[in-house]
Amino acid sequence: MKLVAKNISKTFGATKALENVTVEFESGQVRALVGENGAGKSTLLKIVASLYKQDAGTMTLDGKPYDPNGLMDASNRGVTIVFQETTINPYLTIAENIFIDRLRNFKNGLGLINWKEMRNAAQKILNDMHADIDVNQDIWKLDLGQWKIIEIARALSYKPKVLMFDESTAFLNTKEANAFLNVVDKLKAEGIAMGFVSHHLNEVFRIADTITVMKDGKMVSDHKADEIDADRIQALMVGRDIGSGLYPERKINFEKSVPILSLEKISVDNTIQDVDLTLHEGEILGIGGLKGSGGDAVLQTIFGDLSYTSGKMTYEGKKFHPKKPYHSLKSKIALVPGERTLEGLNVNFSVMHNLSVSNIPKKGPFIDKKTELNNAKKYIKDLTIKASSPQIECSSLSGGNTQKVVIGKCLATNPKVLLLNNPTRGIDVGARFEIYNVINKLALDGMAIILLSEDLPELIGMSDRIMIMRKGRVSGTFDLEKKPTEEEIIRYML
Amino acid sequence: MKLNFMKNSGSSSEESSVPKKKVLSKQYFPVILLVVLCIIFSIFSPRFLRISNFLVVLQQAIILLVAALGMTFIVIGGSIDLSVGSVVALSAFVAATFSGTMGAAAIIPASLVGLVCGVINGVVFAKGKVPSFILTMGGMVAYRGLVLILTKGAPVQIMNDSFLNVFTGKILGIPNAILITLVITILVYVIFNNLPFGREIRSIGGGERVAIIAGIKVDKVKIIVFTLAGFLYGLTGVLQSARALAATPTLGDGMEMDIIASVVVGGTPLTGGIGSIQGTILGTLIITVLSNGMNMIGVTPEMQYIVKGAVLVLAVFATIDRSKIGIIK
Repeated sequence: MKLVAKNISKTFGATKALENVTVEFESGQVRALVGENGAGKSTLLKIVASLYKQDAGTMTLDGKPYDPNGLMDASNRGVTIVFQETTINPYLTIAENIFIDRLRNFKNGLGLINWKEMRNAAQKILNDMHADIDVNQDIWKLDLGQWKIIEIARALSYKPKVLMFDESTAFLNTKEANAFLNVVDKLKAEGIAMGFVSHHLNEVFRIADTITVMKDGKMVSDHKADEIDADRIQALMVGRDIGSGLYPERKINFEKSVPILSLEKISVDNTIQDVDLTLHEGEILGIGGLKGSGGDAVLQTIFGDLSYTSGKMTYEGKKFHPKKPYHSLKSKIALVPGERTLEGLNVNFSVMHNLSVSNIPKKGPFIDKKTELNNAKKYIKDLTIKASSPQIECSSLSGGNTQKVVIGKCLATNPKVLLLNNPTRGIDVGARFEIYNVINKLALDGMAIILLSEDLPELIGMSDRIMIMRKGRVSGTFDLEKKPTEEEIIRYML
Repeated sequence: MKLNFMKNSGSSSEESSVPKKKVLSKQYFPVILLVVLCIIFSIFSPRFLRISNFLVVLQQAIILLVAALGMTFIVIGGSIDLSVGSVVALSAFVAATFSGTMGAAAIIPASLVGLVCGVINGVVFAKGKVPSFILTMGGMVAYRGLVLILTKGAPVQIMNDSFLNVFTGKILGIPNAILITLVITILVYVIFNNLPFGREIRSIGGGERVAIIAGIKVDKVKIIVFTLAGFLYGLTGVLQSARALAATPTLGDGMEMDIIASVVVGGTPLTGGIGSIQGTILGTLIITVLSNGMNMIGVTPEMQYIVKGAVLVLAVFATIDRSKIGIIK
């Protein structure tokens, strides 16, 4: 069992997405594809799964020509894909989600759908995966990780020989990702050939047999997983050596810095309980925890997106109780939200309009379009946003550059406190590095920053102090001096 | 499920570099459509291109336009307003009733009534979280009922000279109604393009959650949008009643279709966030020219419905860049 893609090329408009790439996916092997956003990894997977058609090159499956006609055709021939974004419809049942395009396969004597047979078939797939999911559960009550498992179940329902994962773990927390990787291990043992795209190198090393590094649509290296290390891969990805200097060095003197924001026994009904924290000027306070453990809610409460029901919040020496985000923004507290395109900005609007939306420069009652343009140019330069012009739509930017626009939009409000919700999620190493430098510089300039992150190395690398949350409560805090290890932190998370 | 797949594939950065030419032709489609319609009608009817007919078209178009400008704000803000025809009728009734005693100043109570209807729509929509489609469908029926009660089913004639002189007179040969509409259009254009308020409407229509987090006072903006639209409907009622010399119980009946069609044909999709005032001006001209031209060349009323429907669908098919719209409902 072997799928070979030979000399594949693909262009989109003027962009060469793939140039003469050759890869093989072999039975029982996981090939990880790593590279910056726009390197061509996803495009390659999508060509194999027949979501795109290659401009040049050929593919063979078990030595026979493989030239599928679309996603469904490829799936029926045993090659399928699991996406980064969720494709679960929360209004359908678990079984319907799995068999949505093959409902006709389950008919009873009257020609109507045989629901019981379908449920049983779905349950069997889930059981075979050792997934702890009952098909009778309400799908909207499950978490994102379980949704991903159901999407894998859907992929497996085609009885695939080749399975592609396109950044399938990007939106999962540590626990969910682990459950996901355990399933991948099992599929490997069953002899399925897999392609795996991820930005998380620890996951890549955990499951990959071979690691292919891509850059600008070309393959730059192809190694067995035990022949290469993370530093080398990162260097190959960006084309320069980042080494351990991904997180900028910074020392904060707490004796000199002034507390700006404090929470005392803050609770929000059913969400967080008795949260205490103090934030100083020029400090980066890290908040860690599993998804749903309350970190999001803490940021939302400070930002006025949730209203606290008991406790006391003090900001700049005064009692502070924001009821709406505009109250907080007016008080110079800004939020970079967790969902870039659903909460952070509008991808159909220009870079300039997104940058200015929270603080539109005015001349009298009118928009000062000249200042607006100059501000946009300034942020594009300062934050190294790769956009050909301030008027270009954000939909044409990569994830990293989109996130820089969201950060710029927050900075345009001249905040004293900046709340960051997973600011580098799904972003490649090069852009991460630039974003870390921006965050670091803001802290050095005296801004008080809270960094909520599910990425432990980032949390440890960037924060001056770390607070861990579990089930809505603060479960542990780490002060600077001696940086904690990932293991020490995880103990407080679980 | 399938839509989700498509969306996923569209989100890659490489794909968005669509050829610029295609986008450009879409943008100019309303202009092209208008020119093509004018050419066709002038071939079949020599009277179509006369200046007198041009003025007739303009006078019909401006009545649609004033209301359509209000609708444009609402649609770009991501909502819809089906109550427009009934609000226009209610304002027309108020204008006709007060014209006898107040003369031209009847425009004040008439536009205020429109404004109040807008405030009611806006507050229930923003604070009560009732979907605008259902809310304004209720408004459409309820306000119409009010008009029927108030008029007792009979037209209210307008005979006041001062009222008619102002709203149907001319300055230097140009009808006052056209001048009034011109001023309104310029004001609306400036509000949309040069005030932060215009940006805020677009932001809300483009994504409400994004707008909330960006610190926009979403409820307040929504209420102002509906209020402004209601005020413009009120003015439309005045212009319409003056043109008809009366307010009839059925005035503005079915008008919402022409108005929404004008907005949409002009390139403003119902999904919100995108759109322009220029587009709506073109849209109202297209809808008006279509009716006027078909009357001139003797198309039967039955056939006119079919052609209008077809043009509406064709225009949206050709104009709107669907790659920007996640879900097509």
